[in-house]
Amino acid sequence: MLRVQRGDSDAFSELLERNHRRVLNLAFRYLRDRAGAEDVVQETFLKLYKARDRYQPNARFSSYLLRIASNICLSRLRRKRPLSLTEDTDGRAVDVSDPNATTGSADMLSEELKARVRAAVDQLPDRQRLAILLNKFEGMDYQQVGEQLGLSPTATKSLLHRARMALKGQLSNYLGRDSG
Amino acid sequence: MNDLDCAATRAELVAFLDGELAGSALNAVERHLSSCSECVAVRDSLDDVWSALDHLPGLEPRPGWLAEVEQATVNSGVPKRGLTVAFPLRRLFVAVAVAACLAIGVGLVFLSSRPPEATDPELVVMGPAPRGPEGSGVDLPPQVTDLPPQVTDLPVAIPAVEQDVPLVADAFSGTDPDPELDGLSDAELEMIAELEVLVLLDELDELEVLEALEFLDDLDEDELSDET
Repeated sequence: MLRVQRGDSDAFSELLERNHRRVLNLAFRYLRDRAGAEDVVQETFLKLYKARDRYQPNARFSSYLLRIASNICLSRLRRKRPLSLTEDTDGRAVDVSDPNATTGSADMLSEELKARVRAAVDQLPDRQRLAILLNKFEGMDYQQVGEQLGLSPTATKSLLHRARMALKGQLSNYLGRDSG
Repeated sequence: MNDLDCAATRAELVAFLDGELAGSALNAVERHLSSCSECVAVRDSLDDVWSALDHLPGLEPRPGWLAEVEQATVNSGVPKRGLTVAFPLRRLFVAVAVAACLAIGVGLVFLSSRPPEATDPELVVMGPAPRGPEGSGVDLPPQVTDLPPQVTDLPVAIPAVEQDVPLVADAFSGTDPDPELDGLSDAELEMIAELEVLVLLDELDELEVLEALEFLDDLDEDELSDET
C-alpha cells in the first residue's frame, strides 16, 4: 500500500491480485449474491485507491481492507435484504426449513448440508453474520473482529457467543448431536 | 475463578473453543467440562457447527473479471486528472455562456433604443410574417441581409408572436422575460421570436443566433442612419 501511495502503478495491481479473493468470498458469503459480491469488491478497492494518500500503516493492511469491505457489506444490506430470508413483522428471520428432514444419497446430503448451513448463516442478524464470517473465514480473533465492527471486546465476545448459539440451534439437530 | 455451574460454563464455551480464554477462566471451564457430560455435549455440538461452516460455499472469480475491476478502479482514480482537463472546458463553457448573455443583452438594448421608423419594403428580410400594430414595421438596414442564410431564408409562414411564447433570451438564460423587452416594437419582438422558432426547429443553432445579434450590435448607429 505504501508503494501505491508513492505512485507505483504495478503495486495496486499486485494488491488487487493478492486480496480480491478474500474480499469476494467474504462479500459472497455475506450477501449470497455474485453480482453484489463483485460490486463490493469493486467498491472496496475503489475506496482503497481513492483513499491511498490518507492510508496510515498503523494497522495490518488486511484488517484495513476488510474493514472497508465489511462496512460496504453492512451498508448494502441496510439497503437491500437478502432474498432468501423470510422475516417476521419485526424483521427477524423465521426458520422455514425442517431440520429433521433427511435425503437419500451422500451428494444430496452434502448439498442439503450446504443449503442448511447457508440458510442458518443467512438467518443471523447482520452483525452476527459478519462477525462469524470474519472470525471463521478470516481467522480474526475477538479483538480484530471488534475493531472491524467498532465493538468492545466484551461486546464482541457476546455477539459471537449469540451467533454461535443461534447456529447451533439451527444446525445441531441436523448434524446429529442434540444438546441443550 | 471458582468452580462454574453449567450455565456459567456454557456462557464461556464459545470463547473457550475460540481460544479466547486464559488463566483462571480457562481452568475453570476445563475443570467443569471434566466432570459434566452435558456441557461436553454442548461443546461438541458447537464444535460440529463450527466445522459445518466450512460447507458455506465461496466464490471463484469469473475469468477476466479481475482485469475489469482493476480497469474500473484505476480509471476512476482519473477523476483527479480528469478534473484538470474538465475545468478549462467548463470555464470555456461558462465564458461562452456569459458572452452570449451579454451579447443578447446588448443587442436587445440596442434594439429597444431605436425609435420606430417607416418600413422600407426592400429591407424586409423576414418574409410575410405577421405585422405588428401601427408604426411597427420591420425596418432593418440592408446589412441585415448579410445574416446567416438560415436567417434570411426564413420559412414563409412563421408563427406570429404570442404573448406566452418564451423569447430567445429567456431560452438561454432560463429566467423570466426580460423587462427590457417591453420596450421593443412588435417587429423586433417578431424577429426575436422567429430566431427562437428557428432554434427550436434546429434550423439555427445558438451560436448562429448570437452571430446575428452580434452583427446587429456591431452596426454603427451612424451607419444605420446613413442607410436609412
